[in-house]
Amino acid sequence: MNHWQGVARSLLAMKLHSLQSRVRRSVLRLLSPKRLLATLAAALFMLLYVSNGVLVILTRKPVAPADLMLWLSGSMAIYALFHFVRASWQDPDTRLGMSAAESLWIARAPVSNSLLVIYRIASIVPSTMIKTALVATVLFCDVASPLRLVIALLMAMIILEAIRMIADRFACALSHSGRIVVRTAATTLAVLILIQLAARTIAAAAGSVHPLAILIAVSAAAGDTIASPAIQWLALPWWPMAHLALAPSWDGLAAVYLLLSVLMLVVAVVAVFMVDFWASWHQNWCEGARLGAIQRGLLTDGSTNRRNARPRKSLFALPKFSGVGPLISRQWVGVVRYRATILVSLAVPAALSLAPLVTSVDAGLLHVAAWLAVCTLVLAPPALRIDFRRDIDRILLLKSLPITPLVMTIGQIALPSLITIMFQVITVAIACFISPTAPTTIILVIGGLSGFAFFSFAIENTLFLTFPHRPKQEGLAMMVRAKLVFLGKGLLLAMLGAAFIAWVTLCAKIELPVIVLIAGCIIASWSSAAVAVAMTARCWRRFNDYQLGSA
Amino acid sequence: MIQVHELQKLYEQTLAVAGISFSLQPGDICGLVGPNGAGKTTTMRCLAGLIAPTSGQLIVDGLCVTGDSLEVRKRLAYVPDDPPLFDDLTVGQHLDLIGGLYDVPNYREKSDQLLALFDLTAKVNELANSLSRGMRQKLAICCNYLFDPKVLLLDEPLTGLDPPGIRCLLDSIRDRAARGACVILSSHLLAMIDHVCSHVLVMQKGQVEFFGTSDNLRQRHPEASSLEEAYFAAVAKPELASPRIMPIAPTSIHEAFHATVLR
Repeated sequence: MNHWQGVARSLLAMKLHSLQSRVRRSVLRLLSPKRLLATLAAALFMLLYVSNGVLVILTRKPVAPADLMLWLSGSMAIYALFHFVRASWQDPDTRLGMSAAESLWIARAPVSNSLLVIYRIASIVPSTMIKTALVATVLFCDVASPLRLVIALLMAMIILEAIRMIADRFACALSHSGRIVVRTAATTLAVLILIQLAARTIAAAAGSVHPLAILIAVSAAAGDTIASPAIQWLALPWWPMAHLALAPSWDGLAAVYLLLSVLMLVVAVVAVFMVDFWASWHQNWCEGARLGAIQRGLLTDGSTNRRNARPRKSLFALPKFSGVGPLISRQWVGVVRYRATILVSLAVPAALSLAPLVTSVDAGLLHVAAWLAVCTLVLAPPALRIDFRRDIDRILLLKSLPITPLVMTIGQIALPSLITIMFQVITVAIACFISPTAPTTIILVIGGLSGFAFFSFAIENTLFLTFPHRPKQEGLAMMVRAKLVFLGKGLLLAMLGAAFIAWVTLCAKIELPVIVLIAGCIIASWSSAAVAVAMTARCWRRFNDYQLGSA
Repeated sequence: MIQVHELQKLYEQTLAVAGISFSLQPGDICGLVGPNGAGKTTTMRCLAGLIAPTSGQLIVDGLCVTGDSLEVRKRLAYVPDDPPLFDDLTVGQHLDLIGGLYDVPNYREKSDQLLALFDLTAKVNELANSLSRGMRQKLAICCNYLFDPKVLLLDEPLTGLDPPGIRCLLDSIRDRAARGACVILSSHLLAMIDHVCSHVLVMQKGQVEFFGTSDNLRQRHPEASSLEEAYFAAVAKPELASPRIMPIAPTSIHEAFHATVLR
């Protein structure tokens, strides 16, 4: 057995041991009494998902093969573009997504770079297989052979993961100016696609303001956009896989598509290797160029700067408010640092919320408010992770601070909630500019939604403190968690909507003045927020080392 | 065994290491000391091949660290401060992994001996994430001792170790140096490493303040009765001049590709 076979065997054994250990730990967690509720919810979700899959397979009309082919390849291209946009905006990540332990023990061991790339791509195969299985369940009835579908999807998703690695490695190796160029190009392309999507949605909605009609219009517009020639050109690497998935039988043509798919996979692996090599070289070259510039006096060495007197950077001064002030000031630093990302993350929900005013002349502020409520609960918390979720590695430090749980909770969630309120106010202002509205409606919307913002962040943090997780944690458990949270939020929104309608109906029936209707809504919203904040504070008080270790 | 010539490392706009040079022979134990931010860890990471130097030459056992990285990695061990471990692997599985990656013959037997030496035998089936800080450090040292490296780079290895652990580590360092290994030991615990080091490299603001044998350092500061006092005397100087920046020769991507991939 030569050295490389030994290395490959050790890496494989390590991965298997790691998987075994993870499975054992997951089973223990699932059986833990504290997580029983979550386990039951996850089991219920899986049951529903599979039953739904079976139901869909039995009842749904198969999609036209030509359309499905375009959607399969086009959606991969859209994901690839998303990875490039994300990589161009994010801070440089670790090499090929390796953990600190992998960087020290595997990348530093006598393992060639090519084997390291293969190891990294092989590492993502198990999670990719699970994703493939989930997508294949949905598309089962649309293809002649599920086996070909699974093979094609698996290869397509592995190529997509390889492109994610390429995007991350490429972006982190760029110079500052190069990064700006790539960022501008990728973002412009993404914005153009979004504009295309918005235009198609407006055309497809045909004046409807009903949320379901708009959702159907968005889906149809997304399908048309993905199938458009421009996206399909970007999707060229996935064409063989799309054709393979839809091939009617294992004939010569299917064999050619399979061969081409394998070839694309090999090309993707080689591309990761080449980009990884280029990135290492380019980072070193940029460093050398900067050092040369310092040498020629064109740049100043930071270590020299440090010796010069520079004004001390201070936190934004706020009154103490029992400790809330300093906590908000600290969060503000993060907001300033990630301002561009936050702005982009909130611009999309704002556009979505204003969509009813564009799609229909009958739409008013209440339609916008309904969308704002959806965005506040579903989109704002993932976009503004500047609360307990960001502090998972500093939890013990926060615990040691002489601050009561309630104050800590308010301090942690106040800023993201206030930013969300600001986003709501700006969106409402734009909506009022487009379609003038009565002041009482504006008060109702702003007063109700602002309390809802606090409620959303308090609920998100309660969930996090009960079942904590790392920021970039992945895997089946995280996927099920995300789906469950989404379903839970959907249910919550439906209940809130029903409660609002019931309250309005009651007020109309017993002819209560409008002021009572508005006050009732605002009081209900802020009371829910207060209860949710108290729940978060309770979870924070009960948060312990054991939960931290299990994250 | 180790030759460092005009090593420079730039982080963004900060020159962390500003053209340092030194060389060590087999059997030497060099104490790398200096205040926080002196460039000690950066120097070690460049030598370990974890980060690429901006310029300068690094030779280990006659091999260039950047060009012959695979061969260098077989000869060189690096233990960082608070080493990251695989949370899903046990202590024994960590040693199995290293044994396989470095192609160590009879690694099971050797790993048992090392675990016994560092009092980890009882923890062999424990997951790494259940270990204390000191035990994690001991496991990282065991992993690096397993393949008998010719060069050992230890970055703050004493942090977190209990007194028997410190004694065991220092004895093992002496033993390995006596068998021909070259060791660089970075530590702020000067009193602890005083009697182990044959050489001392004092760094400050990315530059070498002193390099030589421990005896030379004491001769230079006769008033000092210990390494600690000699260190304070060596670094107690007026503000240093700006780091001296060495001219660099750029390498094209073709040269780099030929040097690393196609060789």
